[in-house]
Parts: sequence; C-alpha cells; structure tokens
Amino acid sequence: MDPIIRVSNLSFQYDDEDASKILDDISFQCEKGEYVSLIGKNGSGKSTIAKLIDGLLAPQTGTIKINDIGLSSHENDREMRKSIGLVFQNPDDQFVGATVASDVAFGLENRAVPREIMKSKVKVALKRVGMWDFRNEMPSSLSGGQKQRVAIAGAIVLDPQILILDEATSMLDPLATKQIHEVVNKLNQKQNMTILSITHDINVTAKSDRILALNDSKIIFDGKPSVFFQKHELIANMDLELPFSEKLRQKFIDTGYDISDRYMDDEEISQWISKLF
Amino acid sequence: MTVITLTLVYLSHSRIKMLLRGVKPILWLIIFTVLIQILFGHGGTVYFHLWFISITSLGIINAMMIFVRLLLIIIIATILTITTSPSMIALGVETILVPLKWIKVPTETIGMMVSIALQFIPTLIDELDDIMNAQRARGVDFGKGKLIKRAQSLVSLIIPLFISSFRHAEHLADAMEARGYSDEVKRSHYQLVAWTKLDWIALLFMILLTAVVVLVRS
Amino acid sequence: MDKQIILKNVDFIYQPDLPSEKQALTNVSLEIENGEFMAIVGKTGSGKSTLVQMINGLLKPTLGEVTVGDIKINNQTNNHNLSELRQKVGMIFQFPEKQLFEDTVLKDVAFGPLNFGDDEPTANTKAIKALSIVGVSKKLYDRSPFELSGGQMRRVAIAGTIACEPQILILDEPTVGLDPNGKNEILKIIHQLNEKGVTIIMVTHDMDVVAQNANRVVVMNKGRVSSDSTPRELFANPELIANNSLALPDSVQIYYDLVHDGIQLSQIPLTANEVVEQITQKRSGVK
Repeated sequence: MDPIIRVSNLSFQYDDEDASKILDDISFQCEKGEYVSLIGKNGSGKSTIAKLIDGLLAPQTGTIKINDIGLSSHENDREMRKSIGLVFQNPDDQFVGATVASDVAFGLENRAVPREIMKSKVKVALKRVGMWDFRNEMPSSLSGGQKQRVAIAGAIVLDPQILILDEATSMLDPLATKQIHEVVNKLNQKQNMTILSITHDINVTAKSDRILALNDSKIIFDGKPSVFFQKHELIANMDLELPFSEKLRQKFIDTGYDISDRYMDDEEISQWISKLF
Repeated sequence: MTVITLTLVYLSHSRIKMLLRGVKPILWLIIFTVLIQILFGHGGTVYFHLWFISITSLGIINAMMIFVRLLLIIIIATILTITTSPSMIALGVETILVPLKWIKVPTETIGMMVSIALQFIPTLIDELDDIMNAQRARGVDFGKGKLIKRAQSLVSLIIPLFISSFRHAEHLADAMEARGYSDEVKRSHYQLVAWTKLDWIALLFMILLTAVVVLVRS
Repeated sequence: MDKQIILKNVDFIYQPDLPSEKQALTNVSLEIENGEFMAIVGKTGSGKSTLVQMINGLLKPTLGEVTVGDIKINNQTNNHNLSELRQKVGMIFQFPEKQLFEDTVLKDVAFGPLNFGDDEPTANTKAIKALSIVGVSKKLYDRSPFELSGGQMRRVAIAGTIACEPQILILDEPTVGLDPNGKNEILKIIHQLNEKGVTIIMVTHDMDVVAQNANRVVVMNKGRVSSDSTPRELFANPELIANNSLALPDSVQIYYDLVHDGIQLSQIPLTANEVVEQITQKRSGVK
C-alpha cells in the first residue's frame, strides 16, 4: 500500500539570509492508520514540519505528497488540506466561533456545507471528544484541556484522513494531557485516522506505533518507541528525558538486579518487581 | 428618546446594575464634558461670571442635553451587547451590508473581521490584566508619579500587548487557514438570522422615529 | 524559625455586590516560615492564583489579614503604599516572557530595580547578577529580548524578578510549555535561590515537581485549604489526589501497584532511586 504521507528530501529555512537551515534533507513516510510521534526539543523544527505538510509554508527543496498528490500550487494546497486536520499548541489562539458548536462548524462553513448536514456533523465530532454537553458554552469559559478537545472536534468534523497535533498538550496539566491522548488514541483505533503527534514530551509517545526523532534539523531515529527508549545516549544528546519506567529499569541494572534488557512500561515493571518476592 | 430607551431596558430584561456598570468606565468623560458645557457655555441668562468662566442658563440646558444623550447612547450600546452575541452582531452587520455586494464590497470578509474583533475583546482584556499584574509586581505603580514616569509605565503595557496581539493574530490566521478559510470561496452559515415580522415592525418604527426627529429639529 | 508570612482568616470576593460576584477564598489561614519551598496545587479555579496574589498585595483580602514580615495588608490598605511589599515578594506569572518590553535584555531586567528606587548603576549591577544566576550569557545583554528563543526569554523574564532581590519568590506554573531541558534549568535556578534562603511558593500541576522539590504542599479546593502536609503525606491519600484532579507521580503509582499485589514498602518512594532502595531493603528483610 502507498504511504499516506511521503516526505522526500525536504529542506527549509526562513527568509533571513544568515539563518541556518531549520530542516535539512528530511525524508520519512507515514502509512494509513499509523500513529506516529515526532519528537524533538523546542526549536528543533518540529512545528515547521507540521506547517509544511499542511501547506501553510512552502519548502525550498524536496517534495511532500499526501495520498500521492504533490503539494505545489495554491489550488492543490486547499485540496490537500481537506485530508488534514491540524490542532495547534495554544488553546486560546484557535477559536473563531462565539460558541463551542459554532466554532466546530467553522471548517464546514468554509466548505459551504448545508446547515442540516453541518448540525449532525458537529454533533458527531463533539460527542467523539466528549464535549457535546458544552456545545452552547463560550470557548473562553472552558479550561485549557476542554478548549483543546473542542479544537480537535473542529479538526475532525471535516473527516480528515490525517490528524496532526502540533504540541497540542504542552500547555496543559498532566491530567488534561492524558485525556487528550486518550481521545487521540480512540480516533486512531476506531476511525483508523492517521495521527502525527508532534511533541517534546517523551511520556506521551509510548502508545504510538512509531517514533521519528528530530535533532539538529535532521531525523536521527525512525522506529518503535520501545527501541527508541533504550537509546539512552541519543535521548540525552537530544536534551530529552527518559520515561520514568526506563529510568527505573536502568537504576535496577546499576544496582545489580537481573532485569530484562527490553523496555517495560510502569505496569510491566511493577509486575516484574512483584515477582521478586 | 428617553422613553423609548427605557422601554427597551424593560423589554431586554436587563438588570439596572449591569447597565450602570456599562456607564462606569466613561463616567469621568461624561462629567468632564458636562462641566465644560456648564462652565464655558454661552447664551441665555448669566448666573455667574468670573474671568473666562460663565455659568448661563443655556449652558446648563446644553449640559443636561449632552448628559442625557451620552447616557442613552451608552445604555443602548450596553443593551445591544448584553442581548446579542458577538457572532450575531457580526452576522447582522454582514446582512445589513448585503446591498453593498452589488458594488463588489467584500461583505463576508467585513463580517468575519467584525466577528473576530468582537471576540478578541475578552482575550485582550485578560491579557491586559495579566501584563498589568506582572508589571505591578516589578514595581510599576500605574497612575502615580511624574508624567514621564507615567508614560513609561504605559509603554510597559502597550508593547507587550501589541506583541501578544500580533502573535494571537498570526496563530489565528494559521488556524483559520488550516480549517479551510479563504475569502475567495463561498461559505455557509451554522447560525441563522431569520428576518421575522418583528424585524419589519422594528424597522418601520425606526424609520418613523427618524422622520419625527428630523421634522421636530427643522 | 520566624513566621515570615501569615494569612489569618482570609476571605476574598471578586466584584462584590455585582451579578458576577464570586467568592474565591473562604477562611484561609496559613503560616509560612522563612526559607520554605512550598507547593500549592489544586484544580483550575480552586483559588490557587488568588491566594498567591494576596501575598504580594496585587489583591487585598475582603476579610481577614495578611502579614508579610512587618507589613500588614487588609481591606483598608492603600494601593499606593505597597512598594516595599512588592520588592520583598517577587512574583513570576505564567508565561512571564509576556512582560518583556524594553529594547535590550539588560534594560528589561534592570526595569524592576529602577522602579523600586535604585539608581542606574546599582540597577545594572543587580541586573547583571540576576542574568548570571539564570545563565543568560553576556553576549545577549544588548540584544532585543524578542530575538531570543522561548527558553531564553523565559529566563530573562525570571531574571527581571530576581534582580529586585526578593526574600520571597512566588511562581505560577513557571515551567509550562518548556521542553524537559528548559524545565530542568528553571527548576535548578529556583532550587539554588531556595538554598540561598529565598522562600519559594510555587503553584503547579506537576506532581513530579512537587515530589522532588517541595518540603510542603498545600491543596486548594473551592477556595479553601483542603490539605497542608509534606508531599509524602499527601501521596498517602490517593483519594484526595483524585478528587482534586491531580495525577500521582510514577514512583507513587508503582508503590500502589505493588500494594495491590500484596507488597507493602516501608515508605512511599518519591524518586526512581527510592523505589530501588525500598525494594532492596524489603528483599533483604525477606531473606
């Protein structure tokens, strides 16, 4: 099967003449229905990738193909955006509508969808993120986590094949972060939506199918989370932190315990501990 | 005019307290204008005269007129914002502008601009509050000190406010574009403003009222 | 130890006598000692932010009294006599980089000391000292703060408060939006200040930060203090944690998983290190 996102030899730098390259010869692919996390520290160019894929920025060299359609002209961009939903970092910077429901409808209005169809689609989208009860609230009265769930509804209401989360939980508290990722997991599993989650938080990447690690404008790792978490030196070089369970596993090794050499999550590691007694 | 406004207040079921709150921020402006009218107004019987200050009967009448006018304007504006959501106002503006479409005025874009501007106001006020607190914590005492000092405290508010507004605008533009917004395509509407019989009555009433006012004044 | 901050039966009502009236604090009493590292946690709208704004006079109690050192604040206090208090109590808000406005980094950091009455050379000396504490290099002093990266801007903004040499530093979610490296750097700075004797009061949602830094944690719920204890004591009450929409740190979660499997460790571990220590201890006891 053809990949749904195919990025080849992509380079990008902002206009300033002396600016260094933000992205340098990047290539990767995402399959349909895959859940991919793109991880890197702040300023590593992660968000630039999201904007390039959605055609909000144009690459200097290289190509981006969505469903084998290339991004090039202005017309194509709008066509391509139909298959992509994008959720941004700041919950306060993405609301257009005066109420939750009318905000979710914004994307549909832009496609001139008739009102009756709009109403049912808004309902479905808000129910999927668990915000239907808040449909008549003003967005400004919601908490950060609720705002981001509404933002997700505003993106999925257009039935995109791909959902891109650009640091969508970095301004939220841990509990709201967990709730958002549960919503995203469900969209991935039940709707078979392709997810590209851009983040600097290693803890939210554990459930993804694959991790792409971005450092110094290059992709330096592409593989399974469990494999990535074991690359301690690479993670340290990226200025990121190990997940807690991996830190704990390492501590057990250092103290001389005979523990498996593969990555375990919190639950697996407490099961392992239980067997010690 | 006063009678009509009071009827509107009654019809809108608004609370007097809320209306008075709308008046509060510009109370000083009103008092200032009224005082100027009283102190510097001319004509009619002179009650008091000192150097260039004179209090006259016409001055006082004018001052009262201005006072009532300002109050009415503010109360009507407050009633509008209390009873009508920003998106409704925007949609209304867009609907009123429809005839201008014939001469190629981008009415939809103007409607969208009004809507976004109105919704930005609460965000802007929150932001202003945050920045003000942050600068007060750094020792700024707003409204105290010499003129230069006051001007500088104002700069410490205005620059951050501009920067955050630009950032907000930039992000919002990205978010809107990502959701398919373009001023070139035809849009549909989730919320509807239906033109009912009541609206005809209101329109007719306003036309009559205007005619009466014009006749009385001339 | 002397009591540095005393809140006595503090009530606070936003916009009293208006339809939007809202009681934000109800009968809050707290005593904070010199040099403490206190965390304040709770849901959005639980009164955390209102509470900390009481301590530097940005808000005044509707009822009750706040005492900081020898300064007393109640509803009679005049707004214009708070300069001494504001200098004593530094306040760093969420996303402090929003407060930057001067055309150079150095001028922005010196802004606070100048407001508190220092002359220019003194203010600059304090600014340079603060910038070196937060690790902003000399090369950046004459740059515009708006040319910096997000993490650097955050550090410059924090320096702007540190330069006022406060004895008490209040921080509202100081690490939100930063990557792990940026977060650790900020926490390290806060720790160093605390070691030098600065009292730290930090509002946060991050229980890992609470576990590893604070000596005391206050849980706010609906405007009241619902718990005031050490982090370890708080984690011994998982129900309270859940009721306040907080998350347990991983190490504590593992502790409870083990309890579920019938294994009782002698103490709740706060770090990965403590988990391993406790297990080793327990096993040697078993044998």
